Amino acid sequence: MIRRFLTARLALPGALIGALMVSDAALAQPSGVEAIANYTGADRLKILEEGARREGGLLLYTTGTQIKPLIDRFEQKYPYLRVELARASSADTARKVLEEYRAGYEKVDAFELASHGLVVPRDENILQPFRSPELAAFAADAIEAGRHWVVVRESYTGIGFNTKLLPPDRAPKTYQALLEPQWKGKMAISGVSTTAVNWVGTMVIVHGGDFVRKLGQQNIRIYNLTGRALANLMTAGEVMLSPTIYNSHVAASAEKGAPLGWFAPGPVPVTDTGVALARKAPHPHAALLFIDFLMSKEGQILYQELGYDSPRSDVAGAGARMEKLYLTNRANYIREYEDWAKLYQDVFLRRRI
Amino acid sequence: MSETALATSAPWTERLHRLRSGEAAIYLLLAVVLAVVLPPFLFLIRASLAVGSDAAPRYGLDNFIAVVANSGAELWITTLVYALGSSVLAIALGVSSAWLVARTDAPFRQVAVIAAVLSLAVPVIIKSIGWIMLLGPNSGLVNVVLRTVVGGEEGPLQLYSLGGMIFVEGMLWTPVVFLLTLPVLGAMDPSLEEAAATSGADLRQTFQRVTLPLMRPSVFAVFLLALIRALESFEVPLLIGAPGNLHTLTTAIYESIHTGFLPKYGEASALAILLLLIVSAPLAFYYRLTGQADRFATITGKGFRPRRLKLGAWRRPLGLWLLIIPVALAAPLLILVWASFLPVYKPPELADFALLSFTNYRAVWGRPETLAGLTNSVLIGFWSATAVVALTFTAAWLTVRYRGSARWALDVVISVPLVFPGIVLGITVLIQFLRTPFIPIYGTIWILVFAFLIRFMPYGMRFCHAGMLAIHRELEECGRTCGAGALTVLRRIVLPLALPSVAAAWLYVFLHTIRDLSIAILLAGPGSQVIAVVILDLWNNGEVPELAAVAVLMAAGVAVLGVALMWVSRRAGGVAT
Repeated sequence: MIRRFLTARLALPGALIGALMVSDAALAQPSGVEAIANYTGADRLKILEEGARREGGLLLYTTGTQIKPLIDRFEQKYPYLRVELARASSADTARKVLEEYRAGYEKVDAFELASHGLVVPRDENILQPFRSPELAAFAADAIEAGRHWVVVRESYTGIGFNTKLLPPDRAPKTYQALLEPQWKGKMAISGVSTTAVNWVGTMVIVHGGDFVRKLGQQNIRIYNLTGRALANLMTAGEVMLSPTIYNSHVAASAEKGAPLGWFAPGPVPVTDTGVALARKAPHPHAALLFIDFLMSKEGQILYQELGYDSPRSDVAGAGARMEKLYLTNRANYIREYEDWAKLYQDVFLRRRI
Repeated sequence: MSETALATSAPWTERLHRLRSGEAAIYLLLAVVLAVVLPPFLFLIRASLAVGSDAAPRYGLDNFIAVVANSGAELWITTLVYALGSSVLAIALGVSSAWLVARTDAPFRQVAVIAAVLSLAVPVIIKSIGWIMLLGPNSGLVNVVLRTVVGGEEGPLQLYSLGGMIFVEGMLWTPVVFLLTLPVLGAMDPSLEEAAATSGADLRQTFQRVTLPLMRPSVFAVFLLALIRALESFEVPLLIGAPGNLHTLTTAIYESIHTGFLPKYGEASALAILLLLIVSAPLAFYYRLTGQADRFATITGKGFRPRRLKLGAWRRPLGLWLLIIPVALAAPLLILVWASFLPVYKPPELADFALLSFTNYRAVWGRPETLAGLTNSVLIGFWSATAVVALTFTAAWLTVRYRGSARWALDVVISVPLVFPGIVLGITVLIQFLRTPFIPIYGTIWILVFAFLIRFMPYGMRFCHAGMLAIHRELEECGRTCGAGALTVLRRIVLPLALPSVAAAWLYVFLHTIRDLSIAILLAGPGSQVIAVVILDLWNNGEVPELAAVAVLMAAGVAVLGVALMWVSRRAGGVAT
């Protein structure tokens, strides 16, 4: 009862909350996920650590093991915490958590998912907006408007090519150049839907729908492989040229001696992964400590070592020099995405141009 | 042979009684299977009819109309040609190889068996990559070599074509067909072939006029499975069809599920139901063909010693034929073995020997989830395979032995999950157990076992059914006459005789559960992560060399299992003779 009362009181608009927290001694210990997530008092870290010690760990829904080095470092830092993972693709995870919340099964604490996988959980009221002292260092674009998630890693698709088959001076340097007859039948794209659809979306935004339809006449091969696997086929010489190649993969593979080149003409679509808090997280203190850590400079540098770019202003990367398009921030993203998906299917899959 | 059955028939009163208890057992099993299969099936139907938002759907035929409007004739033609072509190819290669191994003195028999078992180990997705590396139009090894002869910029072999899809899928299924038919042929009474030989028939005539008709029901059962499996096969159309702009029903299902923010089930479910209708046609035909089980029994009470047909001058060339399975396995696998030692995949060159290292193997083994995932996967695989085999062995026996329409219903219900798209089955099971918290298996390995039981019962059924058709009724009647009850007969007579098929079914389910991605990924909770997650990670990361290392390690693990299987089969073979 008291808890509900506190939660109700704490749901007041932002500035007021802070004032209440500081002035009212009885409220110094925030309780409830929402209160903890928005607490900005000077003793925030102390409260989180004390709470986390009681909680003992957290459950994270994520896509893969990329963040393992970050988890290891986090567990080193907080030896009394254990991070458990459940992994599936972003879209599958979104569906799964939706069904779990509908059934009242609320075990998940935090998410590290591609931001397109966070859109539906946000709209279904599964994500809890949060504050963190690390927020200040992040570009405005990288923070979801309602603070439901913060982008912690990103990569960009551009025009990749095999330098053995196509020396850099001969490679197309603009998207318009991809329409030249010499590239007909020579290009491939990743058919993984988010990569393909977001790429089509970027082309629509920057070059218009007609450009996409003209590209469709270039007989582009669809490989149902992730961007990274496509980069591997490119390394092997099977694919010569593709506009859906990630800069991170090219950099990592070129280091190992792969003959890959990459251009990013114009605004690049950002494939961004965000970190988010579950509205009914059973371990909110531990989850927030984890979120803080992923956003921290230390965490961001670890991500960078794994090949991702950072949206943090004090961690410079390739992304700093690029004009970036955060598609999920667009007001009508869901509707636009459906339109792009349809265009992609018509033009590249069914070849109805 | 049916004369022998009549001669040993029991008094009609006893027969009636047995029929009744048999039918009761069928109904009981039918009820159990329905309880398991019906929820996902109803979900599929509901999803196919639901239109509009998730929260407040309305119902109509919109999804079906959209599917038919979107698919076009081309999609259906591609699907049917691909399914028929690849299953015919797999049957032609698999059955002929099985016959050579089981009935003749052709060389390389052991090699073929080992290769067939091994090939089950390597995930299809990895094998497909292997084939792309071999036959890819630009850098495929075979094409590179051929171009030095014929010239040209691309090809000459076009992997991304209908022919290429049929070839790869046919090659993928040949070992399964081989393993399915081998036990049946191995247990066949050779006196008929010997009689043909004595009557002056040559090798081809014997095969065509005696062997082939005898094994027709079993072969047809296998063909049916291959056909259905090809209709619902997914990886080859996805990886080899799509780059050539060839689409099948399953890739259409994949597209409709995956283009959106959430997996969408409407059109996918409508397609799945259409697929179910297509699949039920050959199933009905199959039932008409095998209605008289006794006619096809090849394991009888008559004592015989299998004698191998002497191939004479044909021994060598037919031995080479037996190398098709090992080569079909070795070709993509060798190139993967090569890749597994490289830092970055590239077509083989002599200079690359300097680059080879064990780095990828160490990386795979060093993953913290490899060991935990492996333990969970083996447990899940063990229980899923055991559950599937226990259920389908009983069901196959009942459907072969007893009359009545219920047996057809039982087989149909068991076969229904064939068409469930993995993700649809996964989500139904997920919802089902979220809403029944009094069955607390959500997030444990048991929810996975349950889902895999549904997914693989159609395969178990076909394996066991093929094996069961070959066993003559008179052997069981002997047991009955000696005073054994139904369960004793099942345990002491039927099971040992059908063991090769049962063991093959078990191994098939075990290996497939271990590498299944769509269901395992969705249902695995934090405490039940499976090895498939490692494959998914590597797949998403697209690191061919590390993925290749996983494939090689899995093949090595299965080699051990395969030896065990052959040992079991040989022992069982000893019982049968």
